[in-house]
Amino acid sequence: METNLTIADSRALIRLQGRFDFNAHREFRDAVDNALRDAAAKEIQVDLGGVDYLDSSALGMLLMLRDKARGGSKTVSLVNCRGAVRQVLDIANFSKLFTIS
Amino acid sequence: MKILLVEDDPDDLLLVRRELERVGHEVVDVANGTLAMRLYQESPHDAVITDIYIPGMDGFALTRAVQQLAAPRWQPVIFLTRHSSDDLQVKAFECGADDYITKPAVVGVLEAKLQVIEHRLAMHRQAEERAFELECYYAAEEEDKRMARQLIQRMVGAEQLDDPVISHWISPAAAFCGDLVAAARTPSGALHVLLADGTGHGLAASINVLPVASPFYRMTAKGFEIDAIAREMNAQARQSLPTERFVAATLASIDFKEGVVRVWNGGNPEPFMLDRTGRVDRIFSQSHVPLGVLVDEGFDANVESHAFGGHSQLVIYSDGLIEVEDADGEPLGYDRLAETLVGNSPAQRLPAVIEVVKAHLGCGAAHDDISVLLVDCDHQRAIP
Repeated sequence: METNLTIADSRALIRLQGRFDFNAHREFRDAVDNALRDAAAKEIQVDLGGVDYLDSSALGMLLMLRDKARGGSKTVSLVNCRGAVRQVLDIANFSKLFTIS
Repeated sequence: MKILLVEDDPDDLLLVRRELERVGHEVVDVANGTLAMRLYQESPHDAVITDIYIPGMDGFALTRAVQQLAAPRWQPVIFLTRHSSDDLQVKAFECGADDYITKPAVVGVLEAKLQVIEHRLAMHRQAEERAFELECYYAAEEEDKRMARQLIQRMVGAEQLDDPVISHWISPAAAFCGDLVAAARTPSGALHVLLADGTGHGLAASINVLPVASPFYRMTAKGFEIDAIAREMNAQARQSLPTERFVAATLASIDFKEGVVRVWNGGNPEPFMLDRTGRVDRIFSQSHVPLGVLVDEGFDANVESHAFGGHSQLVIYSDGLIEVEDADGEPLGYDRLAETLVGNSPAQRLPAVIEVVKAHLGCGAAHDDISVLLVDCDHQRAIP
């Protein structure tokens, strides 16, 4: 999986591309830590538009992000969730935990 | 190095011995092949240097005997002799010699060759040590796995799954299974079933599902409803699991007297009900957040109810079942699962599903644990 982090104004955007599974653990964590480190970024957006596969470990990583973000009073939203990715998020009812679009 | 020097000519012996000791080797000398073998048996030597024609066992026989004893360890043997024929050289190597030097040896040649041997010996010993360490590690690992499997099995308590109304299939992707299937009866005879799927697969996932097993059995035995059990399972999972780990779970209670099934589903694919004709009668589409994520105040224990007629069947499964991929990466999918179930009689459904999954996988391996649970829901069925 590839990660791309851009921070503009008060928003950090983490764009993911490829398979989001356990093997993406390190890349994702690095991107998240960098986004959280920026005190100005109050909102973290994870763009899943380029993700073609997402498993339960990926859901776990999103939960980890949610937990860390709450500790730093930041909000997390998941954007561009479509197809199989959306389905996995729906099955786990993640709309109760994240703003999903 | 500790060297066994086999030489019957006293002059040669003295010469070689002095040379070897000068560069720091420890030399044990003997003038007889048979005696040499006896010495070798008593204590190992780093290298053996032997002449060919010596009293007792000759150099060839000695080399063969030494190599046989040393195997599979590498035992360096050097022939040091006045005879220089090619045939003898070939024979020496065939018997297990590492080198063949003709006398009188140029000063320094024997020494240099021994240095090479010493270096190679050190490498061999290091490799042997590593192999041994690896072997010990492997054995300890296997023992741990065996213990863990036994412990997990005992905690999971799968024995009540032989309830005649239940059929199930559970197929782990690795040595340990992160899916858990359980069943138990309440004091009033209602059946509770649980299908749980821990994040990931393997040992960690297998351990992750454990916290939900105990409240399931304990509270079912006391006659609690599944909403209360789900709430307690969530609290247990939340307390014991790290943030990034959770347990997708489906809990169902089947009341055979009333003819009602109740379902709570958090994170598993939607369970469904087949009626007496095999048609999908009801999909339990209410989905909750998996266990271990939400704090108690946010937890939604709402269950869905469905009244069933005779010869109905409840189908619960983990995502691994429909995500099984064929050689082209095409998942099995819900449609193919439903089709297989609908097209078979209740008793034939599980074997048919297993067959379809295996055929879909081909020679590939599943990436996730697979589990499926079927419950015969018959309004009139008596409690066993």
